Amino acid sequence: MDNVRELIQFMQPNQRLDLKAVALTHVLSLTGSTEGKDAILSLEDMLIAIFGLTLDANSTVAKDAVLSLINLTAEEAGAIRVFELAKQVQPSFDIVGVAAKQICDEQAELADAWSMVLSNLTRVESLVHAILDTLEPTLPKLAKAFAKLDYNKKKSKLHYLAPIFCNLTQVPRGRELCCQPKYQLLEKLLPFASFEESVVRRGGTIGIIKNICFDAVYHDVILNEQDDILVAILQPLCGPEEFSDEDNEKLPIELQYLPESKTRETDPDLRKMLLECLLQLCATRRCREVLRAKGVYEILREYHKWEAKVGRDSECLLACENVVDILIKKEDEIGLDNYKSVEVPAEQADKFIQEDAAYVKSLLD
Amino acid sequence: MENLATKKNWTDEERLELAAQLDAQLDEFIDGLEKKRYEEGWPEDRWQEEMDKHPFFMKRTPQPGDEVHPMFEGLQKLKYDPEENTLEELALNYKEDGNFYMKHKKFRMAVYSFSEGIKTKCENPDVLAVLYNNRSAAHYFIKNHRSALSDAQRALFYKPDYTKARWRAAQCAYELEKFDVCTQLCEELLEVDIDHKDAKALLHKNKMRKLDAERNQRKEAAESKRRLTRFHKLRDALEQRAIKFDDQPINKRPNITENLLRPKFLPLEDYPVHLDEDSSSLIWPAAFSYPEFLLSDFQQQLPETATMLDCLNTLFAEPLPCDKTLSYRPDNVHVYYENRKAGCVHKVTLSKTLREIINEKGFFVSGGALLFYVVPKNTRIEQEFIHQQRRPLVYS
Repeated sequence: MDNVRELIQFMQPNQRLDLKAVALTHVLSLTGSTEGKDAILSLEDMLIAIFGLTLDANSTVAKDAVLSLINLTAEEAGAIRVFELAKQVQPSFDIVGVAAKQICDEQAELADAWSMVLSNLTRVESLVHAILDTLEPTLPKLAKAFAKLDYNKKKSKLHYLAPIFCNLTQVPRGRELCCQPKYQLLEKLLPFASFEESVVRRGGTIGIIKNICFDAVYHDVILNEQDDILVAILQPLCGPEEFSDEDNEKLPIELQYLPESKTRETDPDLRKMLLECLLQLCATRRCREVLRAKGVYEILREYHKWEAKVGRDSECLLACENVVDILIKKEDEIGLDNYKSVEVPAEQADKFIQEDAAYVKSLLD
Repeated sequence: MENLATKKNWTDEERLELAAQLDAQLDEFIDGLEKKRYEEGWPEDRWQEEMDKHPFFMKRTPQPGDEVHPMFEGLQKLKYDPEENTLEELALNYKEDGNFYMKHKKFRMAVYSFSEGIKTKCENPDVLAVLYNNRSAAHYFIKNHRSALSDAQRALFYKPDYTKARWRAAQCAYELEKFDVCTQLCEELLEVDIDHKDAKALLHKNKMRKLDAERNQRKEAAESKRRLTRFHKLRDALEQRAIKFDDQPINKRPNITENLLRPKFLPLEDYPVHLDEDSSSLIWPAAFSYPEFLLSDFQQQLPETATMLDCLNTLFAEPLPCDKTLSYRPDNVHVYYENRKAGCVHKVTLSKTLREIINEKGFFVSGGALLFYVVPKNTRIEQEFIHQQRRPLVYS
């Protein structure tokens, strides 16, 4: 512990460069272990020193400082500790504001590193409201930076903005801000649900969609005349199969006549999330009718064949069939305008789970 | 001031002299009205023409080829002579002309004036921005969207916050279906003014149009691929059956093209041979010729699985209009095909299917269709047909 404390004196802004660099190298390696992290998190002065060096003129020093923050905020307790301390110190360190500023700066070399820090902080639901207080005015700029793939001129990809937005939409206020039509944030984010080059970007974007779909308030927003959210959900589930002209005309325009080079989402967890989004959208009669009219059943029919033979993920198969079961029923068979208000007795729920498991087992060869 | 002075050929004295001369001209005109009987004025038959040419009274500027009044030439010199104006003054003079023409909807004249203004190469970026923007507007009104777009973009080059030019550029990009350019420009407009209703509407319209264009491209590609697939299947079927064509060299692998398969008989033109729904049978266009009557029946879609007897039963379900003696009945006719390469004819066995007949050594597809000759059995007509002179085809 005293050894760690001794490093603080070498981490002052006006310290000799070589000493700063070596000290920071040590700190960074310490944050790679649980014991090291705990030691650093318990030393207020050490954290303050790290805050200061994140903006050091020397890029190597600054980089190690930000990378240390990524490791320190990787778990919830550490994230809370760092966030609260940054507020308390005199003068306070506006860690969220600094992160946002760096991410929006086209010339910032550490934009990716800072987006990882911010991603870690926003993952803690109890911090999201306070973070939104700082971020709200900046969201349009962050969305713009995210949507423009070559935004950063120093090769930062800004992929972690997707998990950041996903984390923000965990809370109602975040969802409200994203869905606000004035800034069209959602329109900028949605296309990346199919972005092949980064699973982080895809995963974060699909997470945003899921958070919005699980809030019934937005179902009418989602299934509007523009189809953008529905397209974002369905596109990763579409493959190269040919549909008849009649079926093609039903589909949203972006999904008509897809070429034979089209591939499906490769990550089964993401496929499952998309299917769960569709299941949520089946809650009301109006939405069910929209989904049928848009050819969702036809897409899932082809998807199911693929999942059984190629994807071979049992949870995805089950999730798909749950949606299809609802869509192929006529409305008078369902007899419910809103599934969400139905209560399932506990013993029946258990029985359903067991039946599901047995059924899936019988599907696979 | 000294720089300005060095641009003049005219001295102040000369400028004053010209102005005095103009005053004198006017005085002389007025004096003539008040003091003298009308004499030595414009001839009565040409006064209007003379009036139109006078700089003070002309209603329109001289057109190319018009005789120009000396005073008008002087006025123009004052306005346009590079020696009399700074580059910026000159450019602004041309801008005024252009705007005048715009007001009067003379858009091509406006383009000319703005172009002359741009040619001055004045160094004021704001002036250049306005000239390009205004020329862009002129081009826009005569629907030169490409020129209007590039001028608007030049205006933005000189004045990056020029909203009017940016909005026109967005509209032009939309007309030219440059979807990504249009999107970019609309988003730039909305960045400056989030409530720019027109930009928001255009952004949406542009997006819809792009989606439509992209879908149509994909659809066309899918249809093209389907057509190609069908053609390949057809070609494979023809090759598998070793079909022979009389307009192709013998004993060589046939070069099967759509053109080769297109029927040359007008009534069959739109019905080339094709595969049926499940790609198992060929469907053929066929011509049945009656040498006795010098006319033909055409059957547009005959499945290769049909027998010749089936075909005859269809052909003679009702008597031929010109068959007075009712000789053309399935049991009373012979059917032949011609081997034009050898210059001879072969009789068809009626119980055979078309596929079997086509497979015979001497059968050739002719003009993209099957060609048969139908004659009454054991008649003079048949004998004449069999024995008529035929010369073999010669192909290189």
